[in-house]
Amino acid sequence: MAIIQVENLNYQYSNSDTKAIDDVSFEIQAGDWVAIVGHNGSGKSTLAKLLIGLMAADSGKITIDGQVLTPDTVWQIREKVGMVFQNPDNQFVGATVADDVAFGMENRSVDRDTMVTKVDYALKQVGMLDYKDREPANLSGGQKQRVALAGIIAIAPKILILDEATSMLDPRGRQEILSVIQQLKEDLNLTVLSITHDIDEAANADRLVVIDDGHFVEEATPEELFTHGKELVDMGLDVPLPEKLKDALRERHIEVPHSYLDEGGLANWLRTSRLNK
Amino acid sequence: MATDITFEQVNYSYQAGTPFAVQALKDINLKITPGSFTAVIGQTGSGKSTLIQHLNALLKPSSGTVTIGQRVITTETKNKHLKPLRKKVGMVFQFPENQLFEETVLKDIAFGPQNFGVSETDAEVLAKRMAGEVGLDGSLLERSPFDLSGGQMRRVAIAGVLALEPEVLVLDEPTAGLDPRGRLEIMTLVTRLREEQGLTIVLITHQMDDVANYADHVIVMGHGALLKQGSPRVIFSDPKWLQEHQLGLPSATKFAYELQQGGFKFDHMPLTVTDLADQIAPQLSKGAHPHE
Repeated sequence: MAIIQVENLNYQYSNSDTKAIDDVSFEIQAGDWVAIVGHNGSGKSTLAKLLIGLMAADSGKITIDGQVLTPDTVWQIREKVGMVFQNPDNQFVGATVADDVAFGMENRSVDRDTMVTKVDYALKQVGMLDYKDREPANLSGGQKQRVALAGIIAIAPKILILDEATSMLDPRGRQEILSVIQQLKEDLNLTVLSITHDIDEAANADRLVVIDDGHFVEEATPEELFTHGKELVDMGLDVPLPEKLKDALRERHIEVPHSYLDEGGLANWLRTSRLNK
Repeated sequence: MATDITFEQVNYSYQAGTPFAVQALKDINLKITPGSFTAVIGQTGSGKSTLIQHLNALLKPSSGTVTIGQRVITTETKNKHLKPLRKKVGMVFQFPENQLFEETVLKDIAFGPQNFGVSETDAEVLAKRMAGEVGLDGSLLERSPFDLSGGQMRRVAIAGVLALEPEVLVLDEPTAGLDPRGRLEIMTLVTRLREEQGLTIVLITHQMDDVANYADHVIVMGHGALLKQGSPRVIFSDPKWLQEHQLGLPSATKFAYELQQGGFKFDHMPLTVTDLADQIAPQLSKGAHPHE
């Protein structure tokens, strides 16, 4: 079942001559992880804001979990959607980390005992339980991002939208957060929509959707898309290391496979092509 | 007239003297030499941002001394007369576009120098030059900075700091949130400023590939302490230690270690894709390179 349905969506900023979102239609199935990729200014973040009704589309229809998004349904729909932005400073309200994580539940009238348990559970998931009583303002960028994610985990939404949410994390922290999300997705049949420039985050998705100048350009699995090599930079992604290395080896007159190989695949191929002496 | 920066036994606590006191820097000793490119790495919360705020006395040590050129900063140092220091050491914070506020790009870039006593006319001349320096098109100067893209706004913010004509440029994750092309543009800009103007660069980053490609000195922070310092080659030669401290390797180096398990030999561990390809190409069998 499609949990997100977008039909002929259009949006234009008042100070711009061109449409930020131009007749976009797509569907996302419940339990899927879909990554939206595209260079800066391609319309990715605009799309995310339209999906949760932070901005109203000029035309088109958005259906979330069977409900059409309208001014009347926007609050019900937001109950089902958790969103983590690039800069967590923009979404902090609590005086302590624990208060901040509890905020979303307070809005949903969760009773105190449940709230206390859930706050601890959520902070533990993101590795921030030790920071429970600290002031969010004094945390580092990456720590703030974890707290923001804990606030979402606590309310257990059906859909999680990540808008460049791992961009401030170090590689290890990013991997940890991505595996937390992967686990939540499996446990709760969570649908994940991630807007990202990060190749590792994109590789975690079941499907990638490429957006450029407000248009949907291509939809593919990560493996299919990653064979594009240098064109990936135009799509706002980095070229994966195996593709870079294959290029460098080609320049050194070595014939390498054309199909996409991940690091393990390329390591295997190199091993079998190695001279024995 | 070159500006050395030296830390001697620097300690720093946030909310010192309250029950919430947190020691963010512990016994830091380091030296940043003129014209160098220093990368500061470490996990989130390791004290990187606190460290760099000592580079122009935005924070003063709770104990120990920070010497910036001729100025010695201690816990006793008064906030008066720090202006020349702030001009000498330019600071680009995370998401610097959040600090833009003027009506036009030109006014925003010219704001800093005027604050330091430069006349409006001279500041605007300087602003135009710096806008060119960071690759902002002249047609953007009369636009509102808020109408620009994220990458352009970041250039405006960097130009604003450059307009102070600093000797040291400190950047806290200047490429966070930019796409790969925007990241490359900013890093190319930083390298050029160093080469052409002899600026000393201090860069906080999580991108180990950037450390490998651009830095000549690396400072590793962990739990407020300086864990290790040295050249990228030295720092990335101990993957076990890095892993224990939850830090990564440059992607080419990481892959080289995997290949080493599979029998490939390396004179030194490569830090870049070029170096990696140079070292493995001669080890591949004839079947794999029919063009020879």
